[in-house]
Amino acid sequence: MARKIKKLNRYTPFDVFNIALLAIIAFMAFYPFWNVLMISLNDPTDTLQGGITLWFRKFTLANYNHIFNQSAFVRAFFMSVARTLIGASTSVIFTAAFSYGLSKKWLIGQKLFMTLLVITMYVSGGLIPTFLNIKNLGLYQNFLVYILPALLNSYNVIIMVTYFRGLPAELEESVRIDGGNDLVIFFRIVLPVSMPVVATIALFNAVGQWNSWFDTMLYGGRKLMTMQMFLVELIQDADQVRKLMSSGSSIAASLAKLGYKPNVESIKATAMMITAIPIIMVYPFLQKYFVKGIMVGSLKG
Amino acid sequence: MKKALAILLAVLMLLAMFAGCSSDKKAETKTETKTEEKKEEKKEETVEYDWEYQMDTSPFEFDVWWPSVWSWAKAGLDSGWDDSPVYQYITEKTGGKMNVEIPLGDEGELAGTMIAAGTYPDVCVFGSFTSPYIVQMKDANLIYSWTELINEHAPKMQTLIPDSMMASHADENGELWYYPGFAYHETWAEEAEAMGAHPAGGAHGTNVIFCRKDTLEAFGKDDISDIDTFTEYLYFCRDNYPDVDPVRLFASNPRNGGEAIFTHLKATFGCHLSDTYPQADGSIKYYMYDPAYIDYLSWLNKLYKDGVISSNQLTDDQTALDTKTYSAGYGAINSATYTAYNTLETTLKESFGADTDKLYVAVGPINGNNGIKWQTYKLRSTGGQSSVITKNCDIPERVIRFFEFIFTDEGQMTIQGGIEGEHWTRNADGTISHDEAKASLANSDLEGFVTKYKLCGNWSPWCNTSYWEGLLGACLTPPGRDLDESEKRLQPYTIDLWADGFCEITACIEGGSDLDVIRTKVNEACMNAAMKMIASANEAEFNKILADCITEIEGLGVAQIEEAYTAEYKSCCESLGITPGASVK
Amino acid sequence: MGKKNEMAVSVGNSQMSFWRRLYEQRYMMLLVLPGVVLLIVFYYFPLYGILLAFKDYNPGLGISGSPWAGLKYFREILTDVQFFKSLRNTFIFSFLNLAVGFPVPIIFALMINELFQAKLFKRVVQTISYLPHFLSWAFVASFLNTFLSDRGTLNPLLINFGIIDEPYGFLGNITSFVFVIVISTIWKSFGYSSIIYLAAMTSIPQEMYEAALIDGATRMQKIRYITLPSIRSTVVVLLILQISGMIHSNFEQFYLLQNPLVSEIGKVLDVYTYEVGMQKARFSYATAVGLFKSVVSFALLVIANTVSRRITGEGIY
Repeated sequence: MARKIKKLNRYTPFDVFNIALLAIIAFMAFYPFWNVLMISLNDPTDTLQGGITLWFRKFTLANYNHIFNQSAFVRAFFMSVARTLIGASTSVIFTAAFSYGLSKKWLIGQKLFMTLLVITMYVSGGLIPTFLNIKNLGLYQNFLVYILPALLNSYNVIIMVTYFRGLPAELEESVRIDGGNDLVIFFRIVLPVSMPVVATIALFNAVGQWNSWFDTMLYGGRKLMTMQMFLVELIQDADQVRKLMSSGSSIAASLAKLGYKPNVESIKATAMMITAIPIIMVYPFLQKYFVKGIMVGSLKG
Repeated sequence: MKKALAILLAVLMLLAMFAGCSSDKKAETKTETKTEEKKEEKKEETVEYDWEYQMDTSPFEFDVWWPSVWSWAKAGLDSGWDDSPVYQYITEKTGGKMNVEIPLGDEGELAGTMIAAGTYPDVCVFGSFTSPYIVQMKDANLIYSWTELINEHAPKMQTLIPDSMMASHADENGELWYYPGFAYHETWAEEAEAMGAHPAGGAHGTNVIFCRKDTLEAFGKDDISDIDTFTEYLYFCRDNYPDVDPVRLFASNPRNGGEAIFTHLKATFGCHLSDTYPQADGSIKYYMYDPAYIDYLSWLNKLYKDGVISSNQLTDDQTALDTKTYSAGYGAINSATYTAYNTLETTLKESFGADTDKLYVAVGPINGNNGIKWQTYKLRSTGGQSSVITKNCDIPERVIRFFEFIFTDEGQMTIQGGIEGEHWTRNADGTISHDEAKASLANSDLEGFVTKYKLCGNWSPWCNTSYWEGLLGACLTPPGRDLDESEKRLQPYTIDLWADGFCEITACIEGGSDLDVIRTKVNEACMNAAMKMIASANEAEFNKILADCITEIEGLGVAQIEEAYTAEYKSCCESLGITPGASVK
Repeated sequence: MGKKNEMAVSVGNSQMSFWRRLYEQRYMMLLVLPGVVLLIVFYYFPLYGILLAFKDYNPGLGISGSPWAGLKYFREILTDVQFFKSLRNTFIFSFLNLAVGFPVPIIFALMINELFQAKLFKRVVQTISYLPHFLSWAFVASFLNTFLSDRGTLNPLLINFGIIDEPYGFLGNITSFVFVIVISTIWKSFGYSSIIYLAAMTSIPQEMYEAALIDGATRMQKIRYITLPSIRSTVVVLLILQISGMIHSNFEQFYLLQNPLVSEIGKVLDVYTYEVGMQKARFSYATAVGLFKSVVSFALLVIANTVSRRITGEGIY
């Protein structure tokens, strides 16, 4: 790259300004996250007094232990990993295939399908009819309930359709001339070239799968418990104990006597870290797909 | 082309809708009455039974849906029925075995879908008897009434249900559609005491004012019992302790929350303890019309203008409150004796050293001006978690008789105390002595206790509270300082609100009904107005906000709510044989 | 020319039979039809639920068994002053989020994209930027409460620098509350949203930049004439989508942060309808509101799409 060679190791004023501004933004984005991390590593009783900002006061791994030691945790963790991996990979291919077809204006029924898609973004049957539908399809408490409905997400489809429409026509023409059919074009040419958007959608889907718990609550139940739901329950329980402690009955008195402390804060913080850290580690792996557009130029000839 | 497209689209949608619609058919078969089949009752005229459940003790199982289980009781229920001597005793007696399903998550979303799909099991437990889902199930004819089952299969059981419960919960035809557990009835405190507990007159330890020891000493008093001195003390804190908030207010809602300062001060300012504004003529008006409440808001407004309360305090959430409390950041708090002298004190000692004087000591109660004497009320409640028996149950006669056993004295002692002889014994004077191992576990690890013995929390929708308070209270080590303070600062001032006819009249509005929605909106308007009044800059603004609020709630229909409350109050008075409005001065 | 242009011609040419065209497109159909089936099965089957809005729905009775309520709930909605107030509030915040918040991820993506050196720094900043997305609103609300309280972090800082004399109630004051909401919304989503723009930017061929460099273009010119136009379709699409979503709010954010002092502006539609709808098990009311929202957002979509077509020639469909 001519430009890079020229500017190697030389930072223009713009660059300096850019870097400084980015650093400030990064700090503002990072500080609360760091704060949560510190709280999760701090002794819960000590955290109660407040004032934990940049560093922990009484380091402990007890918060994490408390969660990891629960027997349901490991199973829930693997369930989450399973649905994230399977769900994200299947849905990104499915979405890409669907979007690719939809991006061609000459496809029979393209307008109809597009309209069908857009309508689903704005109208919904509601909680109960959706639930009944899932049940009637035999997906209640079935692992596939995490996969099948998630295969398409209208928002993602629109993003991909836009992207595919932006690809130059020459890309496909050369293959068509050589007699390739649409499938070959899609899998061998279009997909590899679209890695940035594919990686993006894969990431979005993965994050969506990893974070979702409402579907677990409605359709999964304890059999298909995911980590997110497990954590939500844990927090609800802690909250409930705290509420119980201010009621007027003997249980409240005995809870207090036994020193149950409102440590909802610590549990929430730890739960957030356990949720966030694995998925954050995924991004660097995907970053390599965000490479500059390749080989497009080679078709110009 | 466009037209064809549109038509095609419409047809597709209709087709899809029909396809989906057909699957929503309600299982009409389930609504057939199965009760009538079992008319051919046992020919038990020959043997005389004390209770109907004894007639047939063959084994059976039934399923319970219960999302709102108390968190530590979950462990006891999750592990199933077979590993507990207490459960086995119950099975021996009745033949019955309970399978509890604790679904994940919030009852609200789960209940609606469960009902619509028809997947509700034999028994469902809801978090409150005001749950709109109970009404929906009843209206859709999906549940048996307890009364019907009792009359048909276990008539003797009716004697186990207190009249007050029937009065509060039966519908206009005298039928009980749900059973509310944890109803604190009129004599619970006396009955608990008879078993050896110390209910402190029925008021427990809540609603006591605590002041920080060092600031109180610096102020020069060792107790505070009137509002003017209390106010002085708050100003004193403001002036001399800038990093302390003089008084802990509330988290988000000025009126509610056990530890909100209003819970103690409402009586100080003369607001009625029923949270309504009763009139001498027997009618009930809404609390926003009460001049005593407005006085209270005025008082807070003055504190606000003088910087004793900061605006941040008005928006603090529970976490902020906890943080400040556990770092001794308040000059005065309203708390429960058992919290202040245990959890709080221990934490503060850990943080500041064992001989710190940043601890909290009880004061009060705080009496008002113009001769207003402070009062509190005996703990009473019409009930909490409530259960219904659904028509998906094939054996309602066995289930109702199972609960008959549970409601008997023997049943209650079993589910809350354990097995007689093994876990507890009854002394000559009627008090209960508990097995050493059990008592020591209860006093060191409550969760372990419930898990091992499968008592109390596992049964709470069917707990009679005198047994609960009596047995649990007697099992735990005798309280010390916290009981002394309750007896000194609460017991002498306790009145029985219910005896005056105020039996939780605010609970008369059906959950999910139009009136319930109106009330939500009215409460919201009042809460917003109250907060703004506290933060208002001058009297004119204060009065305007109040006037606007009154106009708004009248427009929303507060009169309808008042009507409902009045009717409920009158019927409570009737069943007690007193005149409405007589207790109002 | 190739087959494709042949097909392009023949699409408009009704001479070629429908079946012939279908056969030629059979592979495409293979890619597309499963998706259509999925949409129908999962989204259209439950659509009959819209009827709920016209009935007094009791889940125990099912839709067919529940009595008709006609337009009762719509009447309730349309005569409710609070409903419209909360609708107004929703739009105020959505508009601010759009005006202030929409450009931020784009600018951020540009800044990252313009950084050719410092690869590691770039990666780190990028990763950090979307960390906020993973913090639940429950925590962010709690964090803000503490951060903004009188003895939190911000107030002592401001007092220290003499900007204010005494602690300011950020969450209790309408103006500052609006600021807090908008800034926290942007803060939480800018990094995550920027990913799409970055993806689009990275697929711009380097040759274009090189060619511009040879022509003597400055950095700003490169951004203006190469980078921005290349992401234009993405921007347009996301803008349309955001406009059409203006009637929705971030439920959790408002549920947790709003308080009575700022209720005039803080009560948004989603929170209001939750309190008088779902919380009371009034499914019919909730569905009626949902239908109302659908109509409004669909209308917004059509308007936004049409305007965009006129101005830029691009749109969602």
